[in-house]
Amino acid sequence: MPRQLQNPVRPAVARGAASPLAEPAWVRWLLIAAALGFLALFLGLPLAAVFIEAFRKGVSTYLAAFEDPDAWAAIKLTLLTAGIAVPLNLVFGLAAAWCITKFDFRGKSLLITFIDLPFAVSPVISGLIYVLLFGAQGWFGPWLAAHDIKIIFAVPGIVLASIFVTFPFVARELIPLMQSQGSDEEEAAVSLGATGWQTFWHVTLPNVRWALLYGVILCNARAMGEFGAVSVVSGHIRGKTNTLPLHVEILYNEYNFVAAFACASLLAFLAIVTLVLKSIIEGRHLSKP
Amino acid sequence: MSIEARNISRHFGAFTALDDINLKIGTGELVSLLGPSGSGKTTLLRIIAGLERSDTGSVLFNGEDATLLPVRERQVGFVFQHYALFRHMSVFKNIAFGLNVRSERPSKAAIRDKVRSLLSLVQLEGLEERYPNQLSGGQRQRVALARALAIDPKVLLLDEPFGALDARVRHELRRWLRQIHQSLHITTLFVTHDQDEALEVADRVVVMNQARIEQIGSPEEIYDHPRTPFVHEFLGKSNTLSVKVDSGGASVGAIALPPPAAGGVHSLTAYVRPHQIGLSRVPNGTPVLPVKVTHIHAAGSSARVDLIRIDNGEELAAEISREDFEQLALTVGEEAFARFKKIQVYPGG
Repeated sequence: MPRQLQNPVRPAVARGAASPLAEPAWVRWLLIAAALGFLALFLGLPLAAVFIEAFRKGVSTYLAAFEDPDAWAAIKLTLLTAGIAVPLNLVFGLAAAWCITKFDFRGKSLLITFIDLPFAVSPVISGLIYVLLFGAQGWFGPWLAAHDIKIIFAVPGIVLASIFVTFPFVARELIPLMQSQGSDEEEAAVSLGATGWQTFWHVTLPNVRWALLYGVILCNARAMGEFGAVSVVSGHIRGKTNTLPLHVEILYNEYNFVAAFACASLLAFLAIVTLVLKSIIEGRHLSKP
Repeated sequence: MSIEARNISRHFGAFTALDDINLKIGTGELVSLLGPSGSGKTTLLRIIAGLERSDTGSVLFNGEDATLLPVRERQVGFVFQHYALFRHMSVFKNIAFGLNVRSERPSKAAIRDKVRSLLSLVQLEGLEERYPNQLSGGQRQRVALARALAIDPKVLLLDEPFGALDARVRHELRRWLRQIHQSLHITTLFVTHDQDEALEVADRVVVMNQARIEQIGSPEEIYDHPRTPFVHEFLGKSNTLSVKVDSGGASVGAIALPPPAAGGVHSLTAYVRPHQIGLSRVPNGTPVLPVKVTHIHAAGSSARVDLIRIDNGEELAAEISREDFEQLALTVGEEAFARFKKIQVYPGG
């Protein structure tokens, strides 16, 4: 008897034709071909184009694009921006997810809505908000000018806009997971004598570590790639307030296609690395909760 | 350590979870909180643990007010229905957790010895390196209990500890919980909605319904002398019979009942357990209730006979021994006479 139980109905389904849910072979192939064709046309082709254009005039011309000090400045600024925005959003996102999922309080749904705000508004508006607040004609403009603090058309503005735009990634990734996990383990930990801090380090954080890393990777990708919001506050000062995406645009507008695509390829490469990391982590995430 | 709950009330919005609860549990007792879902039993347990606050009232441990004591200082071992094991920690680390987070952490060797002895207590030797998702439900709950016992709790609180397990494992763990209690003598309070579990495991049962305590007593007291219709119906099977009340007294059919204690009660309901019904083919002198057989289940240690009252059509079920049943040789559709060995009458109906 047990032997019979070990052979469930699965093999019949695997054979395909016998399954009541499977479409005829030609329909399946048609659907798969359509999906793959779409992917190739809209994702594969542009990605390939970036690298082909970048290497059109050879590797040396490609590398020359990065010898330009303005390109270096853009890369450095991009790394700096991500280096500030990602850790801050890691902390903010974790704190927001923690208080939303582990506590009940008034205005909780309002907070959840606010977390989504940066996703809901156009990035240009995100940038504009800071111009209205800190620009020369903005609310705090005169005070900032009097104290000789520059935010708009300077690095602080770029960092602020990037933080705003990338704020939801970590929190959005954590909230559903932490909601589904509930607070039982935390309650068990405190009943065993753990302090709040010990509970966080030994119970909460390990339980969400893969989701957290996943959120950080997405957050980082966006922080490095953000164009709209940063474009509004940056002022496009070469070598000073240009991030990599802005630098690509300037090069392109100057008909410097090889350099533009070379820088673009760097961003595209970053995107590919992000996706690979993401799928590795996703696999971990699913197999080891 | 003794536990006392004084005047505990708790509301969730308009819903009353606990309404002025008073309860005393002596040192070393094994008490169950029994009630249907929504009766407030889990909330009471969580308030005693300190995982939930009460609106009013106080919790006392050994006569000392512990109402404002944080959970982590209460030294209660809490076992959750869904185990709440730390999923990223091995069985060993789970059990050692309470020792590792202490401000004066015991030595590694001491922790290892403690975990080993707990593992043998819960009969899980050799599974130290497993992770919770590699264990069966029954094993997980035993790890959860070992983890709770690791901190040498003064009180053990269990929230539907066997609720998520299948029937066979549940039976095994019940007996095992009793054994553990007998060897450790920790004051234990466990919540259940399963009457068999409460009656089988506990020294004393607290029956709760709709935010209140209905009755407190030993399993026998509760089963044999239920104080309210709710307790009668909740513990074991019972038949409800309508009672005729007039100037001549109260009666069910021709069977006279003791007059109601309080005067002026106009409606009464009688409760009879199936095994307290006797059946015969002839009235043989004593007052009886004429009934008709509608169904017979004779497979089992006793025979269950479904009946309807001939006078008003009320349904009732009787449980008689197989010998009696074979002697009577009743068949469906036949008429018979029911006697009540014991009948409980409550006002209302």
